[in-house]
Amino acid sequence: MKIYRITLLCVIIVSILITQADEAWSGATINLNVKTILASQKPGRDDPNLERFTSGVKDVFGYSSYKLLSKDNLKLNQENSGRISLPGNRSMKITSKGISGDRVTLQVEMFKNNKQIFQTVVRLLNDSEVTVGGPKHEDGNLLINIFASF
Amino acid sequence: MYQKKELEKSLNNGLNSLPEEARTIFILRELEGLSYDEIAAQLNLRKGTVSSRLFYARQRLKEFLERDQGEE
Amino acid sequence: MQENLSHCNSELISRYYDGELGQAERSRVESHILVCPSCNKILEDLKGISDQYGVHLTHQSVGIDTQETEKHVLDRLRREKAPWWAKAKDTFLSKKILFSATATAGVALLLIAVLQAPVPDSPSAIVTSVSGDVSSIIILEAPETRQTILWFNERPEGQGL
Repeated sequence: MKIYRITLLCVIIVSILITQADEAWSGATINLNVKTILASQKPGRDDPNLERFTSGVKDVFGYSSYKLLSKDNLKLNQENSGRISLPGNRSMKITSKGISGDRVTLQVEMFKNNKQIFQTVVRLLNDSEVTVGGPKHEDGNLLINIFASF
Repeated sequence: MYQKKELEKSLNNGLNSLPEEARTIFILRELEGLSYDEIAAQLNLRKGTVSSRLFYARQRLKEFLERDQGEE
Repeated sequence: MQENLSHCNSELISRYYDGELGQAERSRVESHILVCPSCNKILEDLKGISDQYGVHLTHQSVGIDTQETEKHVLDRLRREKAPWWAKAKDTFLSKKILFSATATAGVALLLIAVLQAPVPDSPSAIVTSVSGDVSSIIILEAPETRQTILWFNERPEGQGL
């Protein structure tokens, strides 16, 4: 019947438009703000640059102080990677796998002596963060905070 | 009387020889006096389809009657 | 026997006979019929069929629900006389458009819901895979900010799988 064909056509067109809109977002650039933080039990003044981070994780970790070691900015498009040097002959590679809905899919790999020791794939909300830790370093542990916006 | 009955039979046979859709369109036009638009709306057809089916029905009926009554 | 009338349109004559032509076209056909014996014959044949069947056809014999047909025609006439807003409402509420619009809207909403973000208070990151040559892996969530934290313990130097 004609009305069912028209209905099906409408549904198909709308579906394509919606999914195409989703595809359009995946072409966006993902801005990553990556902080390398040393969390330790040594008493010390909290880094003012880490106020937001510290307040967010204080109920999770029992560290006495948090120190910002380095800050990196990465701009990724789909399937692009960025690499960050970390203390102790380590590095972190972050690969964007695209945006779906309002989450970006990131593959995060940790390397030590050029060998992958850890990997994870996460779907991160826009203007949101994930923290990966905690290789031992000096008298504390490394926390790598990844903040994404797109 | 016999001829009238034969004519009626012939007319009926002519109608029955039509495809159902053409027959319905012909009846809606000739009996009910519906316009092409009204027939199209009633049967969910395009107006052009109504026109061509009606023309076809009339042609078929004319040929049928000529053949049927010519054989008598 | 029918002549091949390439300069005449038999179906056009049929439409003319039914009064379905616009004024300009009707005038053109009328003028043509006056000078074309073939088209004149077509018109006469059409009249003949109508005359024969007009007498023959009765409501009982053809079995058409003319009450339904009459109701349909009267409904249309009522709609034509209605104000524009009533016609618009009537058109939209007609089953056909309502069905189509509802189905399309339903699918659109479903797709948007699926593709869009879930409710705002959800973990910052959804972990879809995690692995490593490590001694342990823990996934945590900060209670207030709902930030996702992945924690792993490296293997001590010299230890491996």
